[in-house]
Amino acid sequence: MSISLTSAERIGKVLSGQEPDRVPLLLLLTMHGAKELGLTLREYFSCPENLVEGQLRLRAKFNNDCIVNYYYGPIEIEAWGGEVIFSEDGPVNSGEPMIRHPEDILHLTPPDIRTNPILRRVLDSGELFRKKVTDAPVIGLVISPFSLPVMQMGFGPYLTLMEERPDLFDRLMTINEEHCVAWANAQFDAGVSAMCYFDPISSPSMVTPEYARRTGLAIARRVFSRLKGPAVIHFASGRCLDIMDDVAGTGAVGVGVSADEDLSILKKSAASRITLIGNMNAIQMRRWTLDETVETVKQTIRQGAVGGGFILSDNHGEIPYFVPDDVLHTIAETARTYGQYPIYPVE
Amino acid sequence: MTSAFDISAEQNNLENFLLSLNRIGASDLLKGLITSVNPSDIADLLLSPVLERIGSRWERGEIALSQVYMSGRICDEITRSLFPRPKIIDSSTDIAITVLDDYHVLGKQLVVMLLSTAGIPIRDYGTCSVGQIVKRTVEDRLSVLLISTLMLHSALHVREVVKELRVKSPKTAIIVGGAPFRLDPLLGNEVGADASGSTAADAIRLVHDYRKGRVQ
Repeated sequence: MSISLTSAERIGKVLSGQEPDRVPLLLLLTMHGAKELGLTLREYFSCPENLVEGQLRLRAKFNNDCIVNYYYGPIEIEAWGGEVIFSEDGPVNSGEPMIRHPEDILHLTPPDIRTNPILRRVLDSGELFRKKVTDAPVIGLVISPFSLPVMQMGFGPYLTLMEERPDLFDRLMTINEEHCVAWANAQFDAGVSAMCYFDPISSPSMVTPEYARRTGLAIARRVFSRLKGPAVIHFASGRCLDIMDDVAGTGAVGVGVSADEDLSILKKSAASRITLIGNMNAIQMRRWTLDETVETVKQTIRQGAVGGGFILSDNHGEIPYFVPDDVLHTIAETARTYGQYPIYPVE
Repeated sequence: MTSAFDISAEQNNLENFLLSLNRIGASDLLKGLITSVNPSDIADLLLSPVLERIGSRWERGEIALSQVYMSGRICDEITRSLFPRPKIIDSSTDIAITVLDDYHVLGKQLVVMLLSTAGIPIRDYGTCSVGQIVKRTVEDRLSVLLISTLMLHSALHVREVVKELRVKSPKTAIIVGGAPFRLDPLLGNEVGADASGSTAADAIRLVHDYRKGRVQ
């Protein structure tokens, strides 16, 4: 009779290069907790106790292998004094950029992590999770220094800054890098056990690999060397095959991979150096039939999980609010049934 | 008045200049043509196809979005300085673009640049809610409305825009684009749009298709 591992043990085995009992499942359910508690998204995110209760209920409901101590992507922008926009049925969005002119960068001051009430909320829920959760990793989130400017100043102006004002670009990266390290480590101190480092702009979908190597990936390497815990790098649906060697060399223990790339080719490229996380298409997930759900999970496991080194998840890092419970249940059940090791390659 | 030029070779040359951010090379190439080639032919035979090709290469994962954006910017800057053009943001045109419920405007900026390079003037509504889009579309009697979204829930809200405009402005063709529509090719149909683009460059083709009666 095989012994079932805890979620923490399961993920620990995968990240250390071993085959666990079954393929771990990371359902990154950042908004569904609001539905569980019958709250609006604004209400849900307003209070750490809501987030904690929502995540605990979701884990019990779907047998998820993680807890997500993550509110919304622009929370760091909000802490910096920027605008965020809440909606009834989708992720919180960043509003008008806070850097209106490139020269604003010269006067930019990051938030004080110890006293900022918005960031304090995240640390409070982290501390609550530390007391309540001992058998699963608690995952925090930081936006990379290289990707944060998309919300700080807008994507177009940021691309122009890269090209035309390398001096201000370097200044912005220095400021963002110090903030990112401090913010991630504060979350580790509060009880988070792993960090999801969101870095879509380092993806070859966004900038050339040559440019990413000089900038985003070099920054990632420096940041990870200063963190108090393990980190995975996530490209939020962006491709990464062309930079897999560099990603494996950053020190990240895992990488979130895209539905736009062939998982079996990504697996071969990773070559057991880094764990792949993904790559179900979360946008299409909303309208999958249950049969389609089963087939997608089976195929994803067959392509990615042979020999270990794989965690089943979506490809964007966040399950949309519209994905129904029956699809999520089917993903979890199929993963449990067809993800038992050993997993053999398809002939 | 257009004398023959090696379209294929010049397309390849321009594409290479743009992707390597070689403004001088791109500018010299276009300056070399304008004495003998009509600006409209340069737009139709050279600029539009090259920018569409660049967009397709991005969709296939061959190049980065930064290259697509800077290519559009370079073309826009060069053609503004070389050619007389209709006003890019033209309040008399019956084509408009908007971003629904979002401040991530890169896709919209790209479409505006690419359409202006192709000599197609467009109104820019900026970021609007469902109600604002419907109101302005009706007031401006648009024949083509381009809606860009980044988030899935915004993409699903396009359904509300479509529902209202089918009643209040039935002749307006609604073309959608943005990440959700690229990641789920069935989404455009689902929300009732007349057409859906995967890249900003698709907007040029779809607007041309509309004018030829292929998008109704």
